[in-house]
Amino acid sequence: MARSYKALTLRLDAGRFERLAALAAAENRTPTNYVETLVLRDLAAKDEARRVISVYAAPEAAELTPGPLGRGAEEPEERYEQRKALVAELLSIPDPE
Amino acid sequence: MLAEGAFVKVLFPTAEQPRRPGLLHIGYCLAVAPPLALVAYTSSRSWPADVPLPLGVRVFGRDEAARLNQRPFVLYLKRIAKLPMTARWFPEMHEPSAGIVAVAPLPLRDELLDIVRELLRRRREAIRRFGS
Repeated sequence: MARSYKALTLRLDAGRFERLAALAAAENRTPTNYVETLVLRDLAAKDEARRVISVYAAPEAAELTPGPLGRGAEEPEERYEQRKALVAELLSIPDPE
Repeated sequence: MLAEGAFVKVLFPTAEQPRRPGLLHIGYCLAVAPPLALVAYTSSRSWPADVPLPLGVRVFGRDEAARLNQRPFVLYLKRIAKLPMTARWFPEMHEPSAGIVAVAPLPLRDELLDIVRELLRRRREAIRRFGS
């Protein structure tokens, strides 16, 4: 099946466009192709990150603020702190949808 | 009471309908930060013998699963859900068992946390490598 393409209009101030054009020229690209490459890289990064680990969020969860991390009576302080950091990072992962 | 290490009955959202409670599964509770819980997906579908295990997939064979009051299962630490601690997602939370079928011993909890830590490291690396 043939791919379909959509066009978009990008407006940059003249100074930024000159910088973009210079960066593109340094890689033998057009400014358009340079921007397209940046977008493709960013999409690939998001796909790759999602492939590694995904955190789905229930709709109601978006409105809830996580309270203090639950801790077992015998959990050492060091383990608890490590787990807190890990859970904070998990909670910061955006929903893949 | 739901806590880290619990294997708990949960209506884990499906990939097709990630916004709704899905089919009843046993999930692994990674963390509880009321009113939210982080739960990893499990499935009783066996892992194909000829497919190498990726990081984040942990197989529990018959004996180990039996010690956790379950049939053999596969735990997917790559697939986590952030869920409110309500009966909409944890249908047995108001029953005496709270829907908890077993609690992982500390060595297993530590092993699973190490896997999640490595997954997060690789995620950061993927973003750094592929990002602009």
